[in-house]
Amino acid sequence: MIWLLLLFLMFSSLFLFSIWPLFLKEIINDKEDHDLLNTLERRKSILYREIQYLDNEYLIKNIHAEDYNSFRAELLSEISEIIDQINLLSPKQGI
Amino acid sequence: MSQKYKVILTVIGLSLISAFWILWSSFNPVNEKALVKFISVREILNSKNIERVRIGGVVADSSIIVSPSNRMEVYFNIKEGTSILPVKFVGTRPDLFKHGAEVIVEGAYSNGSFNADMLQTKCASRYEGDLRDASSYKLDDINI
Amino acid sequence: MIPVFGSVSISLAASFSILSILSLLFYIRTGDYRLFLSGRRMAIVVSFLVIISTFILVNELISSNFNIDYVAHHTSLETPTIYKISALWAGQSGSLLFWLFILSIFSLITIHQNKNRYHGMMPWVLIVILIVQLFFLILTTFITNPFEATKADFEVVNGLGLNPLLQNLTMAIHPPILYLGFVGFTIPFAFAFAALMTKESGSLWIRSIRRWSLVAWLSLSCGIILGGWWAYQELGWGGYWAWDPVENASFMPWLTGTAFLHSIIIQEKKNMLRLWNMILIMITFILTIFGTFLTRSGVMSSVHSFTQSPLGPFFLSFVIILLFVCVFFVVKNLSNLKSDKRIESLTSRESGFLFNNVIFVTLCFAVFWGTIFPVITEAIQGTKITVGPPFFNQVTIPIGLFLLFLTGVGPLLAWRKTSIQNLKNNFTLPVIISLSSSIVFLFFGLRGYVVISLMLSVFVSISISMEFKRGIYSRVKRFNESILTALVTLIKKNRSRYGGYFVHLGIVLMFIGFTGQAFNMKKEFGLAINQQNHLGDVNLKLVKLWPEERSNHFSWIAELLVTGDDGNIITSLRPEKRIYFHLDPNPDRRQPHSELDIHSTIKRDIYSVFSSIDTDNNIAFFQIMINPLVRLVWYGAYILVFGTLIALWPSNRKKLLLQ
Repeated sequence: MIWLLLLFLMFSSLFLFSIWPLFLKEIINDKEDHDLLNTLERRKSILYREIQYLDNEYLIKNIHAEDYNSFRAELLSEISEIIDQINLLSPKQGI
Repeated sequence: MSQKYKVILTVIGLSLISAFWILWSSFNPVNEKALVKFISVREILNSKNIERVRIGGVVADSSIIVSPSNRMEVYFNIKEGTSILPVKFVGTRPDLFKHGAEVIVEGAYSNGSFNADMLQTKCASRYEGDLRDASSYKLDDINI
Repeated sequence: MIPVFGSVSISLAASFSILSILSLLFYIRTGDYRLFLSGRRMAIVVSFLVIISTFILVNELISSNFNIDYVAHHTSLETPTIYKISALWAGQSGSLLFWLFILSIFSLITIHQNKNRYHGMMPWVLIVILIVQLFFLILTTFITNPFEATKADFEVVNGLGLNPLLQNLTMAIHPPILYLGFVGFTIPFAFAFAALMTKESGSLWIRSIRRWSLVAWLSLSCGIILGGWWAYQELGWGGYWAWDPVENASFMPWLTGTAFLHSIIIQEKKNMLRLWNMILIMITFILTIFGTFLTRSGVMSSVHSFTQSPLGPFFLSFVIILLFVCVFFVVKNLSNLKSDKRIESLTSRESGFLFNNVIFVTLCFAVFWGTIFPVITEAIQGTKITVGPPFFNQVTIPIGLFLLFLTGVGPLLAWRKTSIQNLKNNFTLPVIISLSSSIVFLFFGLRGYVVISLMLSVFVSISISMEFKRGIYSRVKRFNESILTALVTLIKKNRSRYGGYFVHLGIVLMFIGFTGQAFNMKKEFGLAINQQNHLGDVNLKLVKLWPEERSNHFSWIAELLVTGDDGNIITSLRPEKRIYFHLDPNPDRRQPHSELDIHSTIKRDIYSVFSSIDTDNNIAFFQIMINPLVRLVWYGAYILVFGTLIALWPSNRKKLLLQ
């Protein structure tokens, strides 16, 4: 008998735990922008690493000067686009 | 042709070559052990001589005879339902080989008997079968 | 009463999972955040209930409650505690619960890791995880319930126990490690599916997926290698891989998983190959479920397989449903998966990665084909055809060697494009050295695949060394560091890449080890005391033969003196022939077991098996094998693990930014 009671208690408490949020006042979720911001930051750091790698390759003469310059320019322009997007999202950020 | 198409072509080429290689090997196995027919005991008893084939079944009770002159040589019967096939195997017998064990043999079939060069038993992942009942199990007798 | 608790927990978990899925779906529909919070809490409850249920089963196993069928069938009073615990994954229903247990822990970790992010994707991630959990919960509730009561009309005083052959540590940990791998791929799949449904293209979650995949891959690799190691040490046939369907079931997701690990790098760096990656992770995940189907359904005859079980159709149906759902949603969202960047050159590292991927998938298909060939021929022709190792070796060796070749080519190619000048600069040295080495190998009488394998191993080693040299050189030039400092810093700052190179070096070592198999020697013979026989350049003399009675078995021990052709003593081998339950009145219950002894050096393993004994004439029969280079396989595996750990080691990203 006591087991039945314990079982019922466990079930009820777990159920209550689960549906508790439904009784809160409606919440507006504004966390979306955080994700976008982090994504952009991550993309930026990946691009910086790419530039570093490119510099290294040029240093050890693995790439021609023309390729080096054009690839580097492409990466830099991508980075500046991203920085713009970051600034739009949160004006206080940015390099 | 642009680089992109060169890449796509190479990918398709590699895939086709590999697929062709796999299919070709299926019809031209490197040796007779690569692709072996697996038939039942009843089927083999009704067939002519076969160069290489695989058979599965159960070791018939009281049928295991180790040759007194060559301990590596064993004679036994494989049973499937009511069909019985005599088998000769020369080689190291697997630990689990005993009466009632599920075995797989591979070799040649001629004149009603089987000459096996491969003998396998099923992996014992656990004891299967009925639980020991109270009377058949006595802790003291079986010294563990 | 407690076992009922366990069973009820599972049923409750199933109900909560359905509620959770509904709640999350409604959130996606309506956007009411409270529904998400509620659904997430229910997902937590599901995992919590599964964990409780698992603890209950383990408790029943340890306390030997033989009223539970599972406990009675897999343990006995005499079973050591550690094997009572490992019995959790020894049987059908327990292992399903264990799968659920691992998935539930992973689910909780995923929920915790992403408490404050990816709010767009998380509902879908959780829905996928919950659906998989629900599938296994349905199986364990209705079909094979681990808490089922023992059906016996007598009181069960003791259980059947665990076969002594399986009572060793390797066998105990091999399944959990494999499961970590199988289940581990569920999370990347869930994220990928979520990204597909939310049209997410951001690179942030890819980093998360990459780490999960790496952990899953590492576990799968370890599990597979451990299985091979155990087979080699315990089973006595002298090999470590038999192309058995169950082995193949774990190898296939490993192959596509490895391909995925590579191509996900491209997606993270260059935002390319998104469609390809989506398909790859879906295939990898589906293969983990399909592999479980192969292993448990009894559809393939295998020395491993569980007995015929009713689970087959369930797993197969799940696989088919998964396939349909994945194909449907990929086709629907095809436009979102197109990358705007293209591969620019045939001789770029990007295309190198792509070709390597194609070969991995081909290899997987080859293994898949060989594994299901019997089923297909039976369905079409009616005859069953067994596919043996010679077929698999015939097909996979050339493909594997080509893959080895690509492993060496990759580091020599530059990103985006490699100019002709660079191709010449980078390829000249490795090609010349490896071709010269092949001449040396041919001179020593080696031929065929052996030469190609060794030559390519040289090629890859040189290629990877060049990468290290390049990196070290650039640091030395730029920052004036010493070579050692440069090496360490290089690895620290590029853990993924250099960890990966170590993994490749490990693979090269393993390939060399595999090549040794071409020179395996085997002989079977009988010896009386002081008689000797020889194999290759080794002589074996039986110097002593004696019986021993031990606590749970009886043993015949043979001492073999191993000497070289020059007369020098190499070692002394002591293989044993044991009989467990030797006092059991029923002779068919007695369990013989050959305890091998192996003398292992890098050059070769001398492998001795005590097959049988003729007690009338005091003649012992042995199977002796000489297996060259096996040690390299295990050493290669250690390096593989080492490399992966380097790649997984968390790096301090902020520092990198400032540099």
